[in-house]
Amino acid sequence: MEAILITFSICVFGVMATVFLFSVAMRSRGEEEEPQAPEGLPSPTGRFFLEKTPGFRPHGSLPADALLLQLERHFRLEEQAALSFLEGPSVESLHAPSFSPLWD
Amino acid sequence: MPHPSWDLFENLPPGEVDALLSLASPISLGNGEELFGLGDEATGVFLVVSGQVRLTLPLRVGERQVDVMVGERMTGHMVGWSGLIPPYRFTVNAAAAPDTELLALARLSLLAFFDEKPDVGYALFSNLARIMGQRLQLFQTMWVREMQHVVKTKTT
Repeated sequence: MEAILITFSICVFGVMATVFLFSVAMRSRGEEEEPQAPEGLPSPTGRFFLEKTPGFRPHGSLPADALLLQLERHFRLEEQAALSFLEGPSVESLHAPSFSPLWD
Repeated sequence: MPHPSWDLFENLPPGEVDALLSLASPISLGNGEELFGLGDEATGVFLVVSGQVRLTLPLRVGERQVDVMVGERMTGHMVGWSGLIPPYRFTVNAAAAPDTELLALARLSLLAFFDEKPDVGYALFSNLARIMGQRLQLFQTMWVREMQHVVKTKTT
């Protein structure tokens, strides 16, 4: 009789320990999983990065050819301003405005 | 034959200029045709007889690489000082715009001439130093102006 009770107690203890360990394991697994966005909504993007969208152009940007023309005009205007400085060097003439479109 | 007043030959006697020009080879370039490229071996210098030479350097704009103008050489100007100064490599791209006539002076021919007439070599290299000094001052000034603009942009 005593042997039966001891065996029964060990079985009950084993079942309780298994249940406890199983519940702890399930809780920690649930914490590791990230919440999923509902289907159909866009996935969230990183905080510091913007996804490139086709056709997207940052504000104020120009097509490459137009930018090239502006750079050329900028070079000529700045060259003239630098030549004016070299003809009469002074702090004022060094930083005199050239009215380049790139400096607006 | 009448010719322009070249910056490289300034203060040289007309007879010596003619002697130097007798060493030169004429070159004709169509609009946009390349005279030399960045990194090419420089075996001599060029004189612009007529037309214009655009000097450019590559710049990345988005996904493209474009050539941005960093200088223009007109009639009477020398092009390609790298042909006379070690390590004899061109540091820009050069192309004609529009149709352009030039004279090419090979370094070896010039140095052989200067061995015979060192006073002409002295005068020519003095002119080269003056031309390069002016271009250095020009770009130094343009660089400082760009830096001033960067500082203004960053501090306002």
